[in-house]
Amino acid sequence: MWRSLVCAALLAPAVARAQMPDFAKVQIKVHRVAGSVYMLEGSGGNIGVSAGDDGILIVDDQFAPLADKIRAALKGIADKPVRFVINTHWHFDHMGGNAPFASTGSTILAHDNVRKRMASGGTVGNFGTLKFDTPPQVPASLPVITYSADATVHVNGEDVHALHIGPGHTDGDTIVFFPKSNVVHMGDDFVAGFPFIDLGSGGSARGLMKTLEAVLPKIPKDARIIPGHGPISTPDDVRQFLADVKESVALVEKALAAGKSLDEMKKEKLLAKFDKRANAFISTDVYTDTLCNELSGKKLGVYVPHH
Amino acid sequence: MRRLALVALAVAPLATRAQQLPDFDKVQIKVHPVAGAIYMLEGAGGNIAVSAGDDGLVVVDDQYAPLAEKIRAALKGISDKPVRFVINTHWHGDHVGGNAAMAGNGATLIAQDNVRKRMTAGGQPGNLGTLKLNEVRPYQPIALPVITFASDVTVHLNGEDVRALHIGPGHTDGDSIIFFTRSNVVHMGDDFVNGLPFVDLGSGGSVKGLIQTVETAIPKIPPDAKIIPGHGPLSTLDDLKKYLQMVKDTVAAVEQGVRAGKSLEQLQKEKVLARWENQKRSFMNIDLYTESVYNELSGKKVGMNVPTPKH
Repeated sequence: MWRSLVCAALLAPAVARAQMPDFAKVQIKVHRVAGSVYMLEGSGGNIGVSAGDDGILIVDDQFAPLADKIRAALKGIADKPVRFVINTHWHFDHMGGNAPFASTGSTILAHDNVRKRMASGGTVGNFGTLKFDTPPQVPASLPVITYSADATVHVNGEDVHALHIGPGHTDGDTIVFFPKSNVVHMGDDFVAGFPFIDLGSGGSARGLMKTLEAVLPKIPKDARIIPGHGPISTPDDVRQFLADVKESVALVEKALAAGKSLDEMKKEKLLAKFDKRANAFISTDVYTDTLCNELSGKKLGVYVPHH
Repeated sequence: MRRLALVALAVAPLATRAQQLPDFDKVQIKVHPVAGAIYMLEGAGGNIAVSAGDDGLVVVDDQYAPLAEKIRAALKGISDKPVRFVINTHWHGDHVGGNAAMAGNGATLIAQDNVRKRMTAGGQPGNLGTLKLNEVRPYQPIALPVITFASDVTVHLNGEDVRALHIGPGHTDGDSIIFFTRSNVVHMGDDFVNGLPFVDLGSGGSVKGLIQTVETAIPKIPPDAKIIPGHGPLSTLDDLKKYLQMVKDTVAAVEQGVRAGKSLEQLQKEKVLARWENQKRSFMNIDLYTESVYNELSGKKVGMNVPTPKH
């Protein structure tokens, strides 16, 4: 959830609403990442692709109106059916294409909470300045295979491992490992910019820190990283992102302990040193607001419990 | 794994090798409606569970390859829809034999991680003593599960959440118990059979693990649920509880002997498990069962666990 909201966030700083990109103008760019793994860039979250004799597996599928363009791009990589789609989380810029892909035979996989939140709908946001209502999604778009911890899809000689560690960007995040090709798709647990902590969907900055700390030792030094949004990255980029999250959380915690209000933190530009991570969706102020809401304990994410 | 070893064991009590497969020509597939949209198929090998509905079929276990046509015909009698998913409760040949045929017809195979690992590598099911079932050669790639999991997956089809749950080692180290939550049916795989369990120490199984697994599963099962055992007739939660008690009592009896420093031969001669003679089934008699439990508890022969890979 990022570029699509650029205009809305610029125009409406108080409460941002989602404005869809002009899909007719979107072009899908294909980047070869490593081995048999590709990355598609269009509008919405980056798509990871494993292509080979067994067929195609994709990670995330952006928006439904882009499905035909995505299919055309995939055909340029391999003329094989899309057998599996893994959703890294439930946001509409990552699972919007589910229904069209399911209708042509793809099996959709995701964490249990992705299906729960897609089925019920909900309010994505930071319990403050960010608020996006997502209606319940049609049954055809729901993941058919879900898991509480992990699933591995064995295709194209690759053990594609979808791993849920804990709450981070949302409470249904998956990080996807392509071990043979040495590529990791981080979903929105790693982006080029500030993280968006979706408190409305059970996300948590403290959880994100734990998730990244748990995942970094599992990533080989020379792996290539696909972020949820942004260019192909390195494990060092993820490390720096984690360091920035930890430092910013510590700063807000300290200010809260000193009895400071959100307005004071913003006025004092508490997180100014991270300004280079700001974008039109998550500005430094919006990020400060999010951390304040979580760390003050006043507004806690609604966690969907496992059954 | 039950009927297949029958003849061999009767003839060769010392070390079981050549298993005799059932006469597949004579096998008939019986269809039992269980509850809601769930059916149980009985043929040769492990019981098959079926969830049928508009979205297609979910099948749990698929017996032997030579029965594939008969199983397909039986499924067609339930529904004209394709088999979309097959879940294997574990890697034994009487539960995964039909995998290649199912995958060839478009089904996606699902199982715990260790099922795929053991099917890929092949291995030696048995009790690390006199019970050695036929050595299993590596399976062809099409027979291997395509989706695997460490802990659980849920297949959402036909308005049913079909949940495959791996608790820990039991019959093997890759067991799944399958919950059909809406229809109120549970398929226990070979963690529950109608008599003495076969604990496959050669495949990382453990009778202590089996006890823990069943103890963990029981609170998740509603009192009025229908229970499909790996082998044997449709059962109830009370049957499962009685079975658990039997396993605990037999293990306690052997454990007492082991603590007293008794040898396996002494335990067998003293018939410490004579009370449970009527629980023998198929190839599992009280002597072989005593030996299996003894091998595990004495710590001399410990099942080999396939480690889960870490990134």
